[in-house]
Amino acid sequence: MSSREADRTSSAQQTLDVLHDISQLLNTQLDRETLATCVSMIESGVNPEALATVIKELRRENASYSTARSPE
Amino acid sequence: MVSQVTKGSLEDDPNAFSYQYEKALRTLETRQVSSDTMETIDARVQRLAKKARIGIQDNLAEALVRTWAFLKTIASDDFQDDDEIKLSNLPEQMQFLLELAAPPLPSTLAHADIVLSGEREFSAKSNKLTWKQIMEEEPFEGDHWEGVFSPGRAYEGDTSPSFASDQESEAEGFLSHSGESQESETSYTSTPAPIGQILTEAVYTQSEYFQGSSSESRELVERLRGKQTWRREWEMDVNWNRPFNTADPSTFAAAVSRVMEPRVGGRIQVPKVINEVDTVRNILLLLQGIDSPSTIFLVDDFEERTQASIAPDAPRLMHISLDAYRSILTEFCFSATRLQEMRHFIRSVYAHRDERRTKRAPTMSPVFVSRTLEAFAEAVDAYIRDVDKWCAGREEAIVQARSGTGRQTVATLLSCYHEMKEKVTLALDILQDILRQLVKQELRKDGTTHHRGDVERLGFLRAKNLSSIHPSILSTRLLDLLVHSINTQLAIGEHPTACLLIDIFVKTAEPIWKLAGKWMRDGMRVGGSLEIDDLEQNEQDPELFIQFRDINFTDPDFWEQGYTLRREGEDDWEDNRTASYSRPQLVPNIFATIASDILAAGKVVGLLRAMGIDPLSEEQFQFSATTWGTFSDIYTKSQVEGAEGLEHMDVESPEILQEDATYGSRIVMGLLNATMTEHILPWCKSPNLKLKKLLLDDCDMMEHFAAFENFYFMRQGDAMTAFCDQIFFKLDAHEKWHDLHFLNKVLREVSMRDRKPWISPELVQFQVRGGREKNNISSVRCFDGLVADYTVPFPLTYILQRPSSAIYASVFVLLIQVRRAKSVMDHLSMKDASQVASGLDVGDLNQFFALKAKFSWFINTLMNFLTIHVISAKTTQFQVLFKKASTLDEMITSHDHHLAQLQILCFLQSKTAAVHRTLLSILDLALQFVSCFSAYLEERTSNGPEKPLAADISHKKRRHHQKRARRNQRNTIGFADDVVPSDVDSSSSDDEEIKEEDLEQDQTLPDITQNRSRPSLTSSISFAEESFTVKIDRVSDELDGLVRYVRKAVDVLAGGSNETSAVFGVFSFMLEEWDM
Repeated sequence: MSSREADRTSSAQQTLDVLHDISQLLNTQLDRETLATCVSMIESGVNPEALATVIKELRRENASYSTARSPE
Repeated sequence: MVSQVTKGSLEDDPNAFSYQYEKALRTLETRQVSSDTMETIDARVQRLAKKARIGIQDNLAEALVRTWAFLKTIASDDFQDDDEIKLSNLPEQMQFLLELAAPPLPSTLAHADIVLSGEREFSAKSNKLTWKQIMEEEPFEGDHWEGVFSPGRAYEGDTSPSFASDQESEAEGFLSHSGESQESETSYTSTPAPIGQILTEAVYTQSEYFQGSSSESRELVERLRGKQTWRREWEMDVNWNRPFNTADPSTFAAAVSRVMEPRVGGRIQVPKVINEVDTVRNILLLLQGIDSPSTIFLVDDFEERTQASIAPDAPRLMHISLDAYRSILTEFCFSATRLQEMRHFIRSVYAHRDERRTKRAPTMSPVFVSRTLEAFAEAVDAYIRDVDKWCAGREEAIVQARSGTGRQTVATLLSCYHEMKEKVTLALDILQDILRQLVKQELRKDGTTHHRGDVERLGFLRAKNLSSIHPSILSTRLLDLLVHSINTQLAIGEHPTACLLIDIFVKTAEPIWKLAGKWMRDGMRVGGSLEIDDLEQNEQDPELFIQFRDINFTDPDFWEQGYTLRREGEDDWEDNRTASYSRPQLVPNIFATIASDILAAGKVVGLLRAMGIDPLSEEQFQFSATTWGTFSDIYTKSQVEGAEGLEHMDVESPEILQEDATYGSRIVMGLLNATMTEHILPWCKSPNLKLKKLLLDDCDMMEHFAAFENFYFMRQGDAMTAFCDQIFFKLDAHEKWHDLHFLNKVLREVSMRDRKPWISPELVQFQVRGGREKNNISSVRCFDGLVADYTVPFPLTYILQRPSSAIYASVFVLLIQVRRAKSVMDHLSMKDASQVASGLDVGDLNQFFALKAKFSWFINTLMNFLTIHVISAKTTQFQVLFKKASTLDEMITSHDHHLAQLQILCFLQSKTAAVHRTLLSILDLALQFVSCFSAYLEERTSNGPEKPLAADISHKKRRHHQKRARRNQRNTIGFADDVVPSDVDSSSSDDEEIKEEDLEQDQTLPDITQNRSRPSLTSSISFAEESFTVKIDRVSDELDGLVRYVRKAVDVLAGGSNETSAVFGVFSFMLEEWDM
C-alpha cells in the first residue's frame, strides 16, 4: 500500500469515525459496521431518506418478530 | 444490511428474511425523494443543538455542533473525487443520520462528553505550535506553512471548530436586523482578526497570564475575549459603511452619520458598534451604579461619583442616530444619577449611625440622629437593592435567552425605559422630593436669606443636612409626608408606586411605634422608681411625640405638665416648664388619634410603678416585651380586616374592585388608625383599672372628697355653723379672729362634735393674707384673705391640689361672708328693736321692720341659692359623673369641670366680678344697717329717747325731700336706673318676715346668744347730721338699687345657652319676689 493510499484509508476511517460520533450523538442506534454499510450504500446512490425508512421498518418488524417468538 | 439491522434474528427463518429483503429492496427502489442541501442540514443541526440547550444539555449541543463542523472541515480538507466518501454526499449522509435521530439517552450524553474530550485531544494534538513560536521563526519556513496558501483555503488553517455560528445563533433572537444575523448564522467559516494585532495585545496585556499555559487555553481566552463587547477585540459582524437601505434599519445610523457628523481627515470615522441588547445590558449596569462602556459616573462637588454621564467613546447602535442615542442614554443617566444619589444618602445615614454608636454626640451642639430617618434609609436601601436585583435579573434573563437556556425576552432600549420608569423613576422622584421638603422646611425656619450652600443642600442630600432637625420634628414630618404621598398616589391610581411607598412607610414608622410600645410598657419616669444608673437610659426619647418637662413628680402640676404631647417650637434643650397650648401639636398624623391615649397610659403605668405596683401583671393581660408587635403586624392586621371587608363588598359591588385597583389599599390605609386604636386598648385598660382601685381603696379618695365638701362647702351643717359662730364671736369682740392657733383650735373642736370625725383637722392648714381689713367688723370683706389648704395624700394631689382647687377656698370664703351677714341680721334682738320702736312713729317703725325683713329675705335667698341649687345640686351631679370616670385624666377633667361650674355659679369668675362685688356690698350694707341700729340704741340708752326722736320729727319733711332727690339720682348704679322701689310691696311682706325672723332667732346657739344682744357695730356712726330714720331710708334705697342690679345681671346670665344658665334662671326666678 502506497503512502497516498494509506492516507486515503486513514482519512476515510477518520470520516467514518466522525460520522459514527454524530450517529451516537443523534442516538441513531447504529453500530459502526451498520453505519459503514449505510454510508457505502448512500455513496452508491441510495436515497438516504428511503434507507432510513427501511431501517426503521426493519427494526419494527424485528421487534414484533422477537415479541412473537419470545413466549415459545 | 438487513442482517446487520436485524442482528441475524431472521436468519433462522429464511422466508421471513427474504420477505424483509424484498420489501427493503422495493422501498429503496420506489422511494425517490429529493435530498437536503448543506444549508438545510446546517440549519437542522443548529435546531437540534438549540433544542438540546433548551433541555439544559449544553455538552450534547456543543459536541454536536463541533463534530459537525469538524466533519465539514476534514471533508473539505481531505476529500478527493475518488474518495470513498465524497464531500458532495455529506449532506445525504447527515440527512440519513438525522432521519434516524432519536431523543438522547443518558448514554448519548456520556458519549457527548467523550466526544468533547476527544475533540480537545485532537485539537491539542493538531495545534502543538503556538502563534508565538510561529512568529519567532523565519517567515514561511517550516512544515506548518505547507498548504497554507493553497487556493481557496487561504485562512482555513485553524482546524479548531469555529464558534462564530454558535455565537451568532445566540444573538439571533435579539437582533432587530434579523436578516444580517441569519446570514451570519449560516456562515461556518470565521474570519480571524489580523494576526499581529491579536498577538501583540494578548502577549502585552496578559503575558503573565499566558506564561506556561497551553495554546489551547490561550485560544479559548481569545475566543471568549472576542465575545466581550466591552473589549477592543470586539467587532460587529456587519459592516458599518454600507449604503442606506430603507429595508435595512442597521444602515440608518451610518447614513445619518455620513451626513451630519464631521469627518476627520476627510475620512469617515468608523465608531465602535454593539448590538442593542448589549446596550441594554450596559444600561442595566448603569442603573446598578456600575460603569459601563456606554456610561460612566462623574465626581460631584462632594467628590463622590454620583453624576451619571454618557461615556466619551460610548459604542453606537446601527439603527439609531447619534443624537437620538444620546438623548435616550441621557434619560437613563438622569434616573441612574438619582439612584446613585440615594445610595450615597443612605451611605451617609449609615455612617452617621455608626458614628453615633461609637461615640456620643457632643451635647452642646444640637446634632441629632433620628432612628426614623435611619429606618427610612434602610427601607429605601431595601428598595434600591430590589432595583439592583431586578437589573441583575433582567441581565440574567437576557443572557439565558441568548444562550438558549431561558425563555425568550424583549430587550430593547424602549422596553427597558418603560420598565425603569415604572420601577424606578416615579418612586425615586417622590422619595427625593420628600427629603428635599424636609430640608426646605428647615431652611424656611432658619430665615429667608438663602445662599449657594442651601441650594447645594437641596441638590446633594446627605444625612448631615438633616442632623440639625430635632428628631421628633423630623420623624413627624417624614411620616406625614410619606402618608401624604401615599394618599396622592392612591388618588391618581398609581397603585405600584403607592404600594412601594406603603412598604417604605411601614418600615419608617417602626421606630416610633416601638418607642410608643416602650413608653406604654415602662411608663413615665417618676423619681424613685428607677435607679440612678437607669435614669440616663430611661430619659424620655427625643424622637417620641411625648415631651418631658423638668417638674418634680410631687408637684400637683406634674400630672398635667410633666409629660405632654410635643408642640411645635418646643425643644428639649430649652427650659420649657409649661406647655404652650396655643402651638400646634407635633404628632405624626398617623398617631394623632391615639397619641393622647398613649400618653395617658404611659403616665398611669409610670405612676403605678412608682407606687410599687406592676401595672401589667393581671392574668388577663399576659403582656411581655414581644406582644407589642411591630408596625408591620398592625398593617398586616389592617390588610386582613380590609380583605374581609372587600370580600363582603365583592359580592355587592364587584365592579368597584375591577375598576379601581387602589380601592383595597385605600381601605387598608383607612383602617390603619382603627387597628392601632384596637391594639393599644388593652394596654390602656389594665393600668387604669388598677389605678382607680388604688385611688378608691388605698387612698380613700371618696372620703377625702366628702371631707372637702363638708368643710369647704359647709355641708357638715351644725359643725360648720359652730365653726363660723366662733369666728364671728371673736370678730364681734374685737379680738384677733385670724389667729391661726385659734382657727385650728376651733376646727379641732367642731370636728369632735360628731361621733365619727368628719374631717381630720391636721390636714387643714389655715392662712390669712392681707392685714388691715382683718378686724373691720363692719364689712364681710375682712374674710377675703382667709385661705384653708387641705392636704391630701399622694397621688390624690394630682386631683385635689391642682390650681383649680383654689375655687374651694373661694367658695368657702363666700359662704362665710354670707353666713356672717345672716348671723348679724339674725341676732338683731327684737327686744332692742322694740326699745327703738318706742321712740318712733308708726310709719318709721314699719319702715325699719320692712328693711330688716328685706335684708333677711335677700340673704336667705342668696344662701338658699348657693347651698341648695348650686353646691348641693352640682355636687350630686359631679359624684355621679366622677364614679363613671375610668381614668385619672377623666377624673381630673370631671373635677375641673365641676369646679369651673361652681366658680361660675358662685359669681367667682372674672366676668361676674361686678356681681360678686355687688353681693358683698349688699352684705356690707346689712352689716351697716345693724351697726346703725346698734349705734342708735346706744345713743338712746345714754341720752333718753326724746331727743333723737324730736330731731327725727324735725327732719321728717326734709327726709322726704332728700328721698325724692335720691330717686332721681339712682341711675348711678349700673343698669338699675329704671328701678323704682315699691314701698307698698316692702311693707306688705313685713308680717311674714318678722315671723321668719323669730323662728331663726330661736335657732341660734345658746352659748353666744347672750352676747349677741348688742352687736358691737357702733364704732363711727353719728346721728348729728342725719337722723336714724333718714339713715334707714337711705340704706333701704341703696339696698333696693343693689338688689335690682344683681337681679338684672342674673337675668342676663340666665339668658345664655350654656349649662349654668338654667341654674341662674332659678336664682332669677327667686329674685322676682323682690318686687312683691
